[in-house]
Amino acid sequence: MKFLVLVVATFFLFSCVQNSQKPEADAIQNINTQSNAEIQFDKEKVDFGIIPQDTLVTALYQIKNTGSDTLKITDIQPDCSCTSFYVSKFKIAPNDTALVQLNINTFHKHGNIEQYTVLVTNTKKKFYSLKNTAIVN
Amino acid sequence: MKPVVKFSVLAASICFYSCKSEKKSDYSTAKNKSEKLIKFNDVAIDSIQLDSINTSYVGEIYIKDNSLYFLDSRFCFLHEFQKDGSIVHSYIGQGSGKNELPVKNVTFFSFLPNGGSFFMGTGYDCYIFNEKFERINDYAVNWRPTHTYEELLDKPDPSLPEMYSLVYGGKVRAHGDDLIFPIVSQHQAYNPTMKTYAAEARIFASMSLKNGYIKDIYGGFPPFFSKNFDFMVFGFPIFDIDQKNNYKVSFGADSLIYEIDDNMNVKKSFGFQGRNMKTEFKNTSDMELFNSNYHEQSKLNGHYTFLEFFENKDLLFRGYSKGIGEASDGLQIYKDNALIADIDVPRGFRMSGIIDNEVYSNAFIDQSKNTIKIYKFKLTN
Repeated sequence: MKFLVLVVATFFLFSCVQNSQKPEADAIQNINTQSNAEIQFDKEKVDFGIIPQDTLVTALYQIKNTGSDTLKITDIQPDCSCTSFYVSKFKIAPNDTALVQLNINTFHKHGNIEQYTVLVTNTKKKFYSLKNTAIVN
Repeated sequence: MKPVVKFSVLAASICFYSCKSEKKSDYSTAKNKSEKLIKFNDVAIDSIQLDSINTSYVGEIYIKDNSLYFLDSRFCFLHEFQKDGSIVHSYIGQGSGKNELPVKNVTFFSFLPNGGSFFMGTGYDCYIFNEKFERINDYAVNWRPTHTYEELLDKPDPSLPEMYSLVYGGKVRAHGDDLIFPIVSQHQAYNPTMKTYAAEARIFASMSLKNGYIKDIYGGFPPFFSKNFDFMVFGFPIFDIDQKNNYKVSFGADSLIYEIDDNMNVKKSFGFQGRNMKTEFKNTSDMELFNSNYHEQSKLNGHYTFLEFFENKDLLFRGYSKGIGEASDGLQIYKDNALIADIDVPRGFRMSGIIDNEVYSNAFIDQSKNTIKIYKFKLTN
C-alpha cells in the first residue's frame, strides 16, 4: 500500500513537472523549418525489458544540436497520459546538448507496451519519435 | 395548458423519442446459406518495401485510385506511394495551416467517396480535407447528450447515443454523406462485462460527415452472444457496406457472416469457422480488467479480425487469428456466400485493398530496421 502511495505521489510530482514544462510556442503551430538547426540523438528507443505493474520507469535521451542555428523544441507529445516528460532546455545552441526525460507509469498496464513520444522542432525534418517499450507483468 | 407550454412539452417529447434508437437487428429472419466450393488452398505471398520516409513508425496503409497511402498517425503525414513502394508525395502533416492537421494523434481515418479525406483526433475532433488536401471543415462528434452521467448510472439506456463510444481499433467507413462505425458502451452501468449487454446494446452509429451529428445508433448482437457471455470478449463487429446499403457483418467470436439491410433486417447468414482457431474464450465481469483480459485472450485464442467486401468482384475477405502456438493467421475468401479459399497469411495480416487484381496488406513496421513492408498476393481467377 505504501509503495502504491509512493508511486501515485511520484506520478503526480512528475505530472506537475510536465505541466510546468511548457514550450514557448503553442503546441501545434507553423514552425519555421528554414533554420539550419540539426538534431542528433544518443538513442531513439529504450527497452525496459520486464517490469512490474504500478511502478515508474524513466528513459533519458540526450540530444545535440549539430547544426548552425539554435535548435528549438516547440512541442513534446507523449501518446499516453501515463507518460510525463522533463526537458532540460527548449532552446539549444549549436554544439550544445539537452536532456529529454520520459517517465512512464505502469499503473494498470499489462503485457507488451509500446509508447511513442513525438518531438516537434525547428529542424528541416521537424518531427522525431522516441519509442519506449516494456513487458509489464 | 397554455399553447407555449403545450408546444414545449410536444417538442421535448419529440426530442426525447428522436434521441432514442429502435432500429435493432432481427436475427430470427436469417436463413443460413453456407457452402464450400474451395478453389485454392494457398497463394504465393510477395512483399514490397516502402521508400524511406521521415515517420513515427505508427500508422496504417490505405488505398485510393490504385495508389498506396501510409497515414503516419503521429506526424500526421499522408504519404502516397506507387504500388511498387516508391514515394510519390507527402501531404498534410501536423500543423495549423490550411493544408495541415491540428492534432497530435490520428485515431480514425477514411478516404471519402468525393476524393477527400476524414481524420479524427483523440478527442472526437474531426477534420475534413478536400481532394487537394485542403482542410475545409472541422467539428466534434455530437453524441446528442441529454442526461448526466449520474442519471445514466441509475438508469442506463442502451438506446441513447451518449451511452456509447467508438470501438478503438475498429474501422470507420464513409458511406454517402455519413460515416459508419462500430460502437461500444463503456459506461460503468452498462458495458460488455455485463451479462445483459448483448441483448440490448446497439453496435453501429451513423454520423453526418457535414457536422458530426450522430444520426442514429442501430443494429445488435446475434442471440448467440446473450447465451455465451464469454464470447463477448471478442464481441466487436467487423463490417463492410455495399452500394445497396447492405451490411456484411461478422463478429470477433462468431463464425457466421450476416447480410443485413439498412433497416437492420438480417437477410441471411453464411460462413465457416477458420482453421485451427482456439476458442476457449473467457470474459471478465470486472470492467477495469476488460482491456487487459482482451489482450490476454487475444494471445491465447483466435478471433476474426477484419472483413472487406469488393462489390465489383463479389468477393468478401475475412481475416482471423488462430491463437497461441500458431505460426500464421488465416484469410477466408467468399463468393456468393460460398467459401472459395481459406489460406494462411502472415500473423497480423489485415487487408488494405486491391490494386490490379492483387491484394495488399496493412503495414508491417520494423522500426529497428527502419522499414515498412506490405504483403501482397495475386488473386487467381
